[in-house]
Amino acid sequence: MSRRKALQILGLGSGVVAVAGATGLTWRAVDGGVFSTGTGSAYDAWNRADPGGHPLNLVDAAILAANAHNTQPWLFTVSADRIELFADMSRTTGAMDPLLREMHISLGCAVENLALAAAPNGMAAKVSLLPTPSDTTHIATVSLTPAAALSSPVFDAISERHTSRGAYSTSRTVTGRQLDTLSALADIPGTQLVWFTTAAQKKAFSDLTVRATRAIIADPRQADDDYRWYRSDWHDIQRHKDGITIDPSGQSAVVRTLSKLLPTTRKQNNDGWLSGTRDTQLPTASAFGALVVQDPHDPLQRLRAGRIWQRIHLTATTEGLGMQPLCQIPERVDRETSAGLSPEVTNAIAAMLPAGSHAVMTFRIGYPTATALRSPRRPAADVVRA
Amino acid sequence: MNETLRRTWPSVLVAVVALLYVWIGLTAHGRDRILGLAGGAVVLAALVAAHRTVPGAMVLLAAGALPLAVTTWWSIATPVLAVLVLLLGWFAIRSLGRPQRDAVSVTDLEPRP
Repeated sequence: MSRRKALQILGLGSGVVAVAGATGLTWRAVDGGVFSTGTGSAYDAWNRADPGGHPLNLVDAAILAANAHNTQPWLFTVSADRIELFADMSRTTGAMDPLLREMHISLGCAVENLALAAAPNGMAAKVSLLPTPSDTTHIATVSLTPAAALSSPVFDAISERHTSRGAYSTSRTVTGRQLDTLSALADIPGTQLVWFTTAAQKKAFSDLTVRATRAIIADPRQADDDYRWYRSDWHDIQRHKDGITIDPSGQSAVVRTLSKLLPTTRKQNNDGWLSGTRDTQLPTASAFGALVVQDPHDPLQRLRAGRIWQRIHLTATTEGLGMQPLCQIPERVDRETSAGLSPEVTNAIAAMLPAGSHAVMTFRIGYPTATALRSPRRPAADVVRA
Repeated sequence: MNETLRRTWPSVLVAVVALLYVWIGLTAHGRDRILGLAGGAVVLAALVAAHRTVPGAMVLLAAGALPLAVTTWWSIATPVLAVLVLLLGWFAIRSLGRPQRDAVSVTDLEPRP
């Protein structure tokens, strides 16, 4: 065989190998959803929030509510004049939420969306929280009566509201007037919004959040229960339509692609969570906030706090503001309480809050530098029971 | 190596990569869908055009391969595909654009004893 022929064969052989490799890479990318971000049946619910004048349209809005770990811990029964909301106790997060604080906050968010969706759908809603004292899973009864249809920018924001987990602008800060406007939304007695805006306050909050994050990662039980809700496989996401996924994580597009192409270990996941929190989310926040109540173990106060959180987040969305729950502190407080651990984080956050108040929700706020992406959602049909 | 195989094999590889563009287009949405479908078609058109004009085919090749790779650079996959299209396409278009050599070798023309 001549040298020329050998080189030709070698060249074509290399081409075949390269094309075969590219085919494998393309298959992995397509199969992993690299080119399908925010699409498919797991995301369809975000396109169904338009008013239709039927009680089911209120549920369409309710399922888009903010909720911890995207567990969507809700079930509904729907009739012509009433919607009942129940807690789905199979969708708790174990040691991450041992006292069910986050579950109640999430359900409060769903209640708020139900109430906000009534007027645009031509109904007036009367909300009764925890209407059955003997059934703690019966969260709310929303009674509906016909009324004139009224549009609302806050309702319009329901399908636009997403958690902004990426970097916030460090050159554009949220003004004191904007924070006051949001504080005014906490209009339920016993519930208050506390802001951390000075450099010293922000540093104290940041340091404690990093400490709480490390403690969660180091706590095998809590880390296990946290990781259980992570979904990395595109087909799993489309099938389950819930959980924490890479797309809304605030990571760069390249990191999101790599996460879809390559298997991610739990350690990589935890390292990414810690570094993202410590190096991006905390340093770029314009301010931090805490929703505080007098009794953090009272489900009613938690549900009310959830309603306020949803209202605040929707209002912030209409202003172009980004918000993100940073709940490592209360998650660790609950863990310390339930497991009888030394109250290190509990005492540290108590020193940062008004006397006699307890944080049920902590978060950051700022102007996002990138568009927040959708999280998967189970459609109304999956959460309405006969 | 067979002359026909030598001339067509790079084109076959480029056509396969063009079909990968089309596949991406079918799964993508919005602008990326258009760029994937159109990009694949334009790369295939470049192979056809190579018989008439090599420079024109080269332009078509770049026009088909680059837009999707630029807009979805973060996907890692499309930049790799674009590099392959440009490299293999260069060989393919040069091969297709060259007049086919006579399959009969010079030694065959020598008078037989």
